[in-house]
Amino acid sequence: MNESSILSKAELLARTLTMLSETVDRYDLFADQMDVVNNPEAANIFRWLSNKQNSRTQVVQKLSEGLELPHISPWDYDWDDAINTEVPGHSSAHYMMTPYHTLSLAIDVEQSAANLFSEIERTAQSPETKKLARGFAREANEFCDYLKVKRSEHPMPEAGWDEDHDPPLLLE
Amino acid sequence: METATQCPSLKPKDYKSGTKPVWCPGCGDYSVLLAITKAMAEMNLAPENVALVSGIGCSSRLPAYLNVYGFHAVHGRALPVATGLKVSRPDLTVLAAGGDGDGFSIGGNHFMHACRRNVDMTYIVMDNQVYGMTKGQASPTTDPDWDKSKLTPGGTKINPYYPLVVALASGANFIARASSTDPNGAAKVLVDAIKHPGFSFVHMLSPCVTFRPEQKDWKKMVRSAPVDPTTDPAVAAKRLMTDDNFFLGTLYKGDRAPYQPELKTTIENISELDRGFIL
Repeated sequence: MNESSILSKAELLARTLTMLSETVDRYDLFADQMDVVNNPEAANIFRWLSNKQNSRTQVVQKLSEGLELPHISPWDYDWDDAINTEVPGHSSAHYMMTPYHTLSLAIDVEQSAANLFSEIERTAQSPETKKLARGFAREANEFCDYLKVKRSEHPMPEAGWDEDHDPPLLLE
Repeated sequence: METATQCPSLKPKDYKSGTKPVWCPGCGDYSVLLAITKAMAEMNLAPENVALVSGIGCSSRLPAYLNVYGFHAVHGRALPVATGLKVSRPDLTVLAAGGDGDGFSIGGNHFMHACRRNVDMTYIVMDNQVYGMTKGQASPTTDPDWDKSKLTPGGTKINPYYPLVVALASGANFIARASSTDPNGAAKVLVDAIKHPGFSFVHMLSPCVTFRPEQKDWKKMVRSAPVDPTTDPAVAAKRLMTDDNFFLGTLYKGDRAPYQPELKTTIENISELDRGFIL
């Protein structure tokens, strides 16, 4: 998302909804992927993350009631598919990922979102937009802190965690 | 060319079938699936007026994951099936999809002649420079020194196939490259490709994280082509011959009229049908 282009409350809400909706879809996709590769621990966390983001989506939808939100084409989002963006990148999932990795991915996403909203707050002209962005940044930061606490309940994986001595797909 | 009727307010996920993809986690094809659904949603295409025909391979599983008409054809034969469908049902938006092995090796001859015929459809080739479904053999687009397959010890030692150059030389009316590392940018390219009359070819870089893990670096290597689309084949030829395979965007937009035979309501006999296939 290009923060310099955020002009109005409606635009900020539209972009936030788009971002949240993409994040929900991506977490659902990752959960499905982890089901397919029989990694239920990671799948369950991705489903939980999806539900959390879905709840936030509903809150933002409520804030948007009565407003005419602008349509944003996918190519206007201005984010790429790399990790450390507001939406987790497709290539950030690994079939052997642990709960620690799963939560780390979500922390990166929330941190990026918090940074983005803080930047919007800093650059926006309208006090209403600034206030909204500040609230979104605070929420993202709080969720980020909560995820860090949850992650501390899981051991940090040792080096070589992705070495599979019986790989499902051997190069022939 | 926009042929399908439009319906309001469909979301990308409305174009998904609900079947869980079985691609490897991290596979680029997930992003391509997303880009296709975003493109269709952006164009408000009615799912019942879209058909996606694929060949065989990992990427050719696409029809199963979409909520539009789909046909999982024979290996390398997505294009003749899609061609037949489009000429007999020009009202449909027809997409064909597959991988580099399916499209450029087994289906290589069909690729050239589909470009030449210039039927109004969009062909998406998800190129990962390897046969993934059969566990990692060199494909037509594999670099000559890739030596990870026992079938090609020391690498193939032959030049890779340059699909965009072949597409231009064969008469494709729209040539573009997109990347699964940027599904939103890919959606834009797909919208342009679908809207453009005639045969549109989209070379989609889509890493195989299992057999070509080094391709994860593609996201750092791809970049927008610093040029506007040209309608001049000579300019496009020079552009494509000096291309390093990582420039993204629409590189050529031709103005040839699409091939569309006059449709008859009934065919009198088999020999008449046969004549229709001779070009």
